[in-house]
Amino acid sequence: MVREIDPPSIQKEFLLAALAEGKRLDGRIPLEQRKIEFVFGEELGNVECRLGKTAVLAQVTASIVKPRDDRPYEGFLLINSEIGPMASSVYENGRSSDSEILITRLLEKSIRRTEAIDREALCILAGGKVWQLRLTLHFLSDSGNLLDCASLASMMALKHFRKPDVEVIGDEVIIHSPEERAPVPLAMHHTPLCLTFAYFENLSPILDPTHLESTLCSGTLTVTMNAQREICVLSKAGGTPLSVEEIMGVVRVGVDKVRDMVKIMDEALEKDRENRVVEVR
Amino acid sequence: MSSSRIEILNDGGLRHDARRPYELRSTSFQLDTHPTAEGSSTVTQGLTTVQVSVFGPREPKSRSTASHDKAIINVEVGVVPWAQGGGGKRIRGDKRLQEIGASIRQTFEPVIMTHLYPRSEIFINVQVLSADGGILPTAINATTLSLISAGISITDYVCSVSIGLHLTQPLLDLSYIEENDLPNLILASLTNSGKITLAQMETRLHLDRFQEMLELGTEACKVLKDEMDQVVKDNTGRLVERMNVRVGGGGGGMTIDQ
Amino acid sequence: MASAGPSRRRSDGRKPHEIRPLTIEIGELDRADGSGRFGFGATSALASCSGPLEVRLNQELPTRATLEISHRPLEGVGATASRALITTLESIYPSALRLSLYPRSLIQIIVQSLSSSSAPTLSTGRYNESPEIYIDTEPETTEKNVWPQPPTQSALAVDKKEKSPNTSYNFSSRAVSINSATLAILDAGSIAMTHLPIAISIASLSDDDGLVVDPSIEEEYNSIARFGFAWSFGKNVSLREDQNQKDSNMDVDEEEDEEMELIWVESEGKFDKEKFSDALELSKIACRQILSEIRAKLGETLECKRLQ
Repeated sequence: MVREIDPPSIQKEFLLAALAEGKRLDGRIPLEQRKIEFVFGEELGNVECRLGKTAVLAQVTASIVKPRDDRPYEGFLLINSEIGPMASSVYENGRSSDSEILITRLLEKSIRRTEAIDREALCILAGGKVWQLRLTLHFLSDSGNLLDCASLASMMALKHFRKPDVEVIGDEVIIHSPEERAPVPLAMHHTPLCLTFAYFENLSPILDPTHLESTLCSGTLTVTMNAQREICVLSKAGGTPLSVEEIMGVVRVGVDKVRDMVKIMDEALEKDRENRVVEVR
Repeated sequence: MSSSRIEILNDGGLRHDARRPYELRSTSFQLDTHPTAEGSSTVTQGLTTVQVSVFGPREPKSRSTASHDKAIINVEVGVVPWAQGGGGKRIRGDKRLQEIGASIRQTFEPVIMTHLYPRSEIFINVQVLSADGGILPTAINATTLSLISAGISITDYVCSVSIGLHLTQPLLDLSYIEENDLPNLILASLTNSGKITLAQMETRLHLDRFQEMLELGTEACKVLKDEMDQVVKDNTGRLVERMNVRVGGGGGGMTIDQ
Repeated sequence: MASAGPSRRRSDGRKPHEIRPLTIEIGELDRADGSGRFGFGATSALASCSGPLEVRLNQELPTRATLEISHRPLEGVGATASRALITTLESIYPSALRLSLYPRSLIQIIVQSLSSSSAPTLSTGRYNESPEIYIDTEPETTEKNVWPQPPTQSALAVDKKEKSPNTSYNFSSRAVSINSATLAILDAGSIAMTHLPIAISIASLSDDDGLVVDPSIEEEYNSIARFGFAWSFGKNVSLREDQNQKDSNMDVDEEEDEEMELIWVESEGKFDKEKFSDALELSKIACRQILSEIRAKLGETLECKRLQ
């Protein structure tokens, strides 16, 4: 087992002193995110998201399965999010640490429980055939704030993905290959995105902590929001206690940030669409 | 979504268990309910019962995890098979239980004065005996009491409650049925400062309602704190009384401030 | 050398012995000691290497470092195909690294596939944007087909074949995995190497046709025989401690070249001795070419670091 080494105290003091002046070691202002970059893969639904030096690869695939008997109209969304040692040697294969559980649970909550994907739209034949989406996340590099990066990557991959067009004639389902009919995008209700803030004793919160910042901070708060001013998930476990006003302050910052992020996503998608031929006809 | 046949709030403004929106469920706090643990308590809120035992500060089970300048806290959460629905659905090592454990640990890490107990371990065992919603809030309340009963220094009472929202009406202390149907927020606050140490929410909610719920929750926590404080004081008072009898007069060497 | 005339073009416009454009990126991952991305066209892999690290007590070896190689497929979780790839890597790297220099420590190599593990949706290159789809409504009918279908596999039967997601990796995926791992170890620079393993895949499209170097997915799919070769490059390679490291399922005369040595051979399908030796020769040239590209890229990266 590889243990994390505590950063030297001189580094800690320097970081705190800089933060007290409202400066961060990478030159950002407290409520600024690192640069978001998307790299689209060859296939639809394959997106690598980079948030500064943190990188997560998301891949969406679809298959046709039988729905559950009690929910014949609903498709499935499976999320595979195991953090391997590639992200950082502290994560081990097949052994989940506390932080890993928190990340995967929060992702699950913010993507699945908020009903970002219209699962009823995944139904092909009630009680017979539904689409099963599988979202696989690969955590490539943990340079702090894996969660935000993973949520961006996931939402982007889901937006980017297209499922093949299907036609139902009686009981028969015809799956059209992409060159017959253009594949169709998924029906999505909204785009929930995670924002993580880190707290330091007696200092104002910072957005998108780097790895060093998150090891030194006294607590984090993650809020998942969408562009419709809705809070989808909020999670603050322990750390510095906050007053109601402080929490509300952070949430209000989140509203604007999420809007900006959705805009960045849409622009990236638009750009990708120009370079990609989806319509074959 | 699944059981929307139940009327969350009827025309008379009563909930399905005949409570008013801001009414907490009946509570019972019992201290020292475990034979060998340093501190323990059993807390019942409505039909949810949680027993928490605190062991330690003691020598850590594995040396390698010990810290030289503070105590480490380990939390384990278990649910008895008959706690809910009779079908041992939640097994040990379930991600949800691990998450509850992690939340409890993170909530108490800044509250317990860990620097007083270097190189040691404080082990908190949470057992859910019956579950009818609000496992985490009840477990947090029980942990606070157990820590007090174990005599471990903490900076403040941590009290926790769940808050739901039905249309525009906030509801306090949700039962299992309500929990499944409503957007809900779990809040734990340090009651003296009124600051929030844990906040968890996992369903969609509009921003404007959120603040109202936060404020309501902090108020409810204060009510719970008074109840818990009363139990602790009664307990300690009884103890002091007995000591006085044995030692004779006020020579027990212990006073409690009223 | 190869019997095919060099003038003949392949379906994607390449000459028979032409490699797809290479992707070589070094050191992009922040938290690993070393990382490398290697790709032949669309087939690519990312690898990271960390070490020497603290090792778990029960894995500790008193005389050498514990080498932990893991692989993650692009979709789902690792299965047999993944395991097979790890076995390949495990046969190559222990001899390439001087593990005895780092006793009681851990060296981690993680390979992440960046291209789909299963066969293409249909054997054409017309729509490589198409999502990966397979149907598993009736899992019991899913054939447990070993990946290389008999060469008689017609395009009509292809549909059937897609139903099994757990086909093993094609040779170019295996080759990129090996090459990316080599890049990662090079970038880490913390582990002494005796030589550099570099791999290439070669396919034979038909009996009378010549061999193609670095076949694309569909070429490999329609081929009658496939080969994977890895050559080790280094000065005095043969002087290393353990001599017999080649993991070949064929009886090959080892080339006593001064600076390159065969370290991995896998082959499938129908071929004769002549074809095999042709492939062997071709792979040598291709690996040399890849090596020089890697050298150039590495030099560039180091130069950048020096300037900073």
